[in-house]
Amino acid sequence: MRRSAARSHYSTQVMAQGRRRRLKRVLLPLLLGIIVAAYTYGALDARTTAEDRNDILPQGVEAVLLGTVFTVASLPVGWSILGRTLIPIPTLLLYLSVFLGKNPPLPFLAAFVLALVYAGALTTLSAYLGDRPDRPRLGSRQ
Amino acid sequence: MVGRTLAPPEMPHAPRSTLGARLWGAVGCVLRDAYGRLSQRNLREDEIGLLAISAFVGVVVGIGVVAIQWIVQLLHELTFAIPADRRLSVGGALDWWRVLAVPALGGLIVGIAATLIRRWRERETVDAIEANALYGGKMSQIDSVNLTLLTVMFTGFGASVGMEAGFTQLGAGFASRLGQSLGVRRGDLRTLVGCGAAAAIAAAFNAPLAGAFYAFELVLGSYTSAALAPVALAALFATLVVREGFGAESIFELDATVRITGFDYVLFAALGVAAAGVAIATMTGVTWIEQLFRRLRVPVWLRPCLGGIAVGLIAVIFPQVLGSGHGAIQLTLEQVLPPGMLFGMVAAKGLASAISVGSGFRGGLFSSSLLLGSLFGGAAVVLLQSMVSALGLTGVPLDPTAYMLVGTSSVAAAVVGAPVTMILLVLELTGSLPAALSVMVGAIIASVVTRLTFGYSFATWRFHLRGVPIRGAYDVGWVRELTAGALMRRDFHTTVLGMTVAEFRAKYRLGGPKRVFVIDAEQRYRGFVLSADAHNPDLEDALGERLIDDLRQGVDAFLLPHQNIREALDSFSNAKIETLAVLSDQIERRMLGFLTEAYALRRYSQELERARAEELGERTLFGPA
Repeated sequence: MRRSAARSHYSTQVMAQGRRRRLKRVLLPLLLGIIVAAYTYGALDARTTAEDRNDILPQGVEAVLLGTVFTVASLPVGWSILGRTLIPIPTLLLYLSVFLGKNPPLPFLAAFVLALVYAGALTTLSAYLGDRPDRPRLGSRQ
Repeated sequence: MVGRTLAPPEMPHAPRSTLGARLWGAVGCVLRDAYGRLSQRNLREDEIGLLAISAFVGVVVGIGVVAIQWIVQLLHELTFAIPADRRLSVGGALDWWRVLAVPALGGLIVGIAATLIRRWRERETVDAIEANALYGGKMSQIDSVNLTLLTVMFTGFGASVGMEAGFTQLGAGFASRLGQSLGVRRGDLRTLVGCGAAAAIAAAFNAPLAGAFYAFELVLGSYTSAALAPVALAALFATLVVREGFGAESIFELDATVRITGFDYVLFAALGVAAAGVAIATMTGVTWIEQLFRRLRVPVWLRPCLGGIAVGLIAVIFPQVLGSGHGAIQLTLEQVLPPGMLFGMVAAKGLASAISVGSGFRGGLFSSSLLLGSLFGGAAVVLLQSMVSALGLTGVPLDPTAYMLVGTSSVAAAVVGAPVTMILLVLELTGSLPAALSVMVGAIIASVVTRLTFGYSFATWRFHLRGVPIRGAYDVGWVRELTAGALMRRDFHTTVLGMTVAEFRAKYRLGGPKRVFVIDAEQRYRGFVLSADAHNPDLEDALGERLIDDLRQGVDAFLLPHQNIREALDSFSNAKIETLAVLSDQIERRMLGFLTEAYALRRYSQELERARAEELGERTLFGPA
């Protein structure tokens, strides 16, 4: 009795469509997160000077963390704003080290501005993906 | 060409006293005379003449491709200050400010130029595939030159796009124009367009087999023995011109022998599946970037500039993404790049290509997909090696070169939609049969997976997005030309609403017109009456009172003149009647003519037969009885 009451009144086909739609909304941030991680991993590897490679964490871990945070920040859910707050500073620092550590290194001001642009671009893109007005949020009734 | 007369050759306007002027005049006379003789010959029946034209197309396109490559290299040297003997995408120490500024400024300049050209030539440029599918091989030479120039400029300013689209457009456009001026028939014009494209790819990659099969797979849509000789000849002559005439080399050279075991083929298959995913992501990425620009309401002329800024930002870290990527392919095959760099470059090249094409840079993804594939293959072998070692599956280390080649051909086969071309390209560039066999596994699986899951190559995907109803270069243009307006009979009989059956019988005797169309007082179509129905013996009781209005058929079913034969046959099927009126439009409903299902079916089967015979290079599908 209780079990039948809990059963959804939607048909299985409608529910499957909903699942596919939600999956698609998660897939794009996930794919872009993988791209961000791979890109960052390669960028960190482009550094040639030893002092610029002196990171807190291994390069691969840093890249994966940034990709994961980007994915979370890009999800169409309310709490993705938490991810968005975590993107700018680590991105700025990581890419600043990339621009200063590559061969030949960029002047500091140029490197700083470009790192800012990267941080801003990733944050803006995640905000766009998370808050696209044409797409309903995950878990919403639409 | 019947009726064409030769004008007396014009003498050159230069002073005749100099030897150079006289020579120039003599050459001009010879060329004009040759053209005149060629155009007077009946090329519709002359296969040898068609072969001669194909060879000529190969020579001209080969020279054109070399010239374009030279101009692009010169632009790279000027704008990026690279040495004369180095390709841009090799990377190295480029000035960071040039890397940022040149693509952005180039995007601005060419974006404005493209917008101005668009105002002058409003319609979309017809490429070789679309021309062969819909227009019987007819292409605009002006549009082709415009597109080629834009591609040269975009690539010259460092956009991450391939030049092959420009090459094929130029080659196919030239061949089409030549064929049109010589008055060749539809099937031969399509073949000539294939010759132009084959010559362009053969010259670009110094690979005649790949060029020829590019034409068969993409531009002609099928391989036929009739098209083999002209297409192969064009590809061969183009290759000979660039190889012997200009000493051009392959885009990449590989002398290494590949080591492949039986287990490797399993991994190649897996790589093919993953390569399909990379290809689909790249193709949809282009669309996503386009949608983003549209949604943000960025003006069309500004989009390439923004795209250029984005490409510049990527290229500051990964300069290998600049340009078409030929130098970077050689770099990845020659040097063992660190895994991090490989992963990063896969993401960077995929992004840069998607941004470049999506922001409006003209160009294709042919060579971009080659580089993307080689990087992907290199990155995949690192992952696969670690997995295989961890599982203890094989003691033999995996050969990175083999996996890079498989990755190259698999991604490119899925993006370009030409697996055999990619297999032959690898065979011609490496000269290694084992490498070609390994590539075959990956390329075919990548193509099949892409077709089953995504359903398009990049070219057909673009057609789909533009709403062009074709899935390849198969000739379907004749369907569009066979319209209801062209097929209808105009000898129809009309009568007015409200006529009694008796009056109708008196006016239209049995054995007269089979059907009579009914119109109202405003001359609008109101259905039709079959004479047999009006003369039905069951109606004898009330002939004087009964109106023909009750006997009408097809009141709401009709055709419009622009509807093609397939739409017409669908309408017959839906309406379940054998005759449909052809009306001026849905509001006025003026009667123009009528079409019967039997006639439409007969014309459809005749045209199908003719199109198939033309594809095979025969007059008819059937031999003499």
